[in-house]
Amino acid sequence: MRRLLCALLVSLFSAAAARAETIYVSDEEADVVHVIDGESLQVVARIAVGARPRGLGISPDQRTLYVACGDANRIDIVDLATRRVTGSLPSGPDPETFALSPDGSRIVVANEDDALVSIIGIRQRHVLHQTPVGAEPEGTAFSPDGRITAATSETANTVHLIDPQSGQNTATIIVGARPRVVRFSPDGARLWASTEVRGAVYVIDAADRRIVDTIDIAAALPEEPIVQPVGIAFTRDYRRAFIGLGRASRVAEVDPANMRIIRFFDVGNRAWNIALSPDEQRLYSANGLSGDISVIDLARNAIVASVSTGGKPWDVVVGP
Amino acid sequence: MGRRCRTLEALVVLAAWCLGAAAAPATARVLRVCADPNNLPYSNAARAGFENRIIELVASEMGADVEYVWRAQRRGYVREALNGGQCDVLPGVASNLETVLTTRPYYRSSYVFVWRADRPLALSSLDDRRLGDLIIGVQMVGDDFSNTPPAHALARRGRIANVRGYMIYGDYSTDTPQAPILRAVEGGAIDVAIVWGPLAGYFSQHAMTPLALAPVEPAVDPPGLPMTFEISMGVRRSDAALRGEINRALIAATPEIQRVLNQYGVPQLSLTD
Repeated sequence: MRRLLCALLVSLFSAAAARAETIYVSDEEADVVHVIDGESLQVVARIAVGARPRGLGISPDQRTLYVACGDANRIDIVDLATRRVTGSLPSGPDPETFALSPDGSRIVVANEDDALVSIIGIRQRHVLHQTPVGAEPEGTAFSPDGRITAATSETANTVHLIDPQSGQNTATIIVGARPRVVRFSPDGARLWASTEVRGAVYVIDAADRRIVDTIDIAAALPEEPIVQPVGIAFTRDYRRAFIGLGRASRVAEVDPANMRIIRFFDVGNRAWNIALSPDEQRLYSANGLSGDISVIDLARNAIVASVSTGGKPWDVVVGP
Repeated sequence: MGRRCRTLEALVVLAAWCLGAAAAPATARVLRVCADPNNLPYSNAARAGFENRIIELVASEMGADVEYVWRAQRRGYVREALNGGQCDVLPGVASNLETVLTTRPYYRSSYVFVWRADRPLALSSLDDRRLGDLIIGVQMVGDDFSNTPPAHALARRGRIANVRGYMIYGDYSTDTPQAPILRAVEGGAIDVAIVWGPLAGYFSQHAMTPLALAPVEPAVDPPGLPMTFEISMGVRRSDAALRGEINRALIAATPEIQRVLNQYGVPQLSLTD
């Protein structure tokens, strides 16, 4: 009896652990967010949002999805329980990506056309600070303690560190051509910046504000004519780092202990952005030109599925 | 034993000769390169510029001969020469040039202050208050002050009356169109010049009066105007395979390329930080 109960418990537990997650994918062509069930890997819903949705973010309480709708010039607020747009945040023109503060109270948005980085209060629904930066700001990040925001400028080839309390630009770091995504390491000590044209990832010491490592991914793929590092994801223990490589149709894995490239995963075409599952057993990549999501099993280090969404997947986030 | 060795040797030589003959293409491959015939230190028709030397190293690495398409670098250069199909490669473009596909960078340089070494100026910052009292030469594309990054940075600080512009196209009737801004520092017509590094490095090597150079600070003029640039080669956006080949050649020829850059006095910043 006890054995049976235990078996039942284990099976219940493993069923629950199986894939209690939902994958959200912005589609810049179809103007929807695709909702994929983590267990069945089926598209179970499509949420209509404003025109040209790209950057996505989930609130810390996992109840709200924010969607940067570039051509609608706003950030839509989606209630994840009802899967409906319940309102929007003012973002300034053409928001492409944004980052949420760790406490969920603010977002930082790059306003590409105006060379500004805006910090917006979510409750207040208005702009708290605007900071001028280099031309064509793109990627943004909040440090884990919420004390630093970072932004890349695509044509100035710069990474800007900004104090979110004052809106002051506190440091400007030059990196390679066309920087895209910035991500702080889980401990906040390092800031990684991917450069799409240069084909490298720059690792910046967040305290010293200088580059400490350059991961030359293009040089590691000499036969590949186009290597476009964009999306960056870390495991919480900072043992594994993943980088989406765009039209190289790969995701690179880097060991943050020595900054060596460990392996490449063959994913769909134009893999801009990537996301880890909450249990860190899976990595998902949004493939814009093949219109699908690649599912990587991180225990087996293998692609285990491809979920066709159609359209042009751009960003991917994972929620409960 | 000795005879067998010699026979083997002969066989190996013969095999190598046969393989070599089989591998040799009927006609050598040609890399069509657009270059300015009168733009030292970058390129000239005598192939005496450092970009001539570097593209020839790259072509040699690729097993190709360089065929130059000579064109003065003027408005429309990229559009007509490269994208119009006259040539396949443009050496010496900024790595973030959007109208082409750029290769991996082969050097990074900076705008530099240049002054006569016999004057105790030791300039390094655009914010140095002494710049208000000096005559400053700056490179310009047109006849306004808003084009090259240093011209823009000076204008932003209200430094206009004491700034003298030197056209980057220069006097094309001479064999060194871009030299006048450096000659003006040597001759004392201006106190200091702010010049793109490779130009300053090359002409200071050949100066009659010793010149001092220092990279312009801040390296990014607030809020986001860089004074340093990575330099790549450009190919058409549809030529990704050629870019891949040039990338491999640039990596293979790195030590030789570095020697050329050093020989021409190009002030370099690290490509990795």
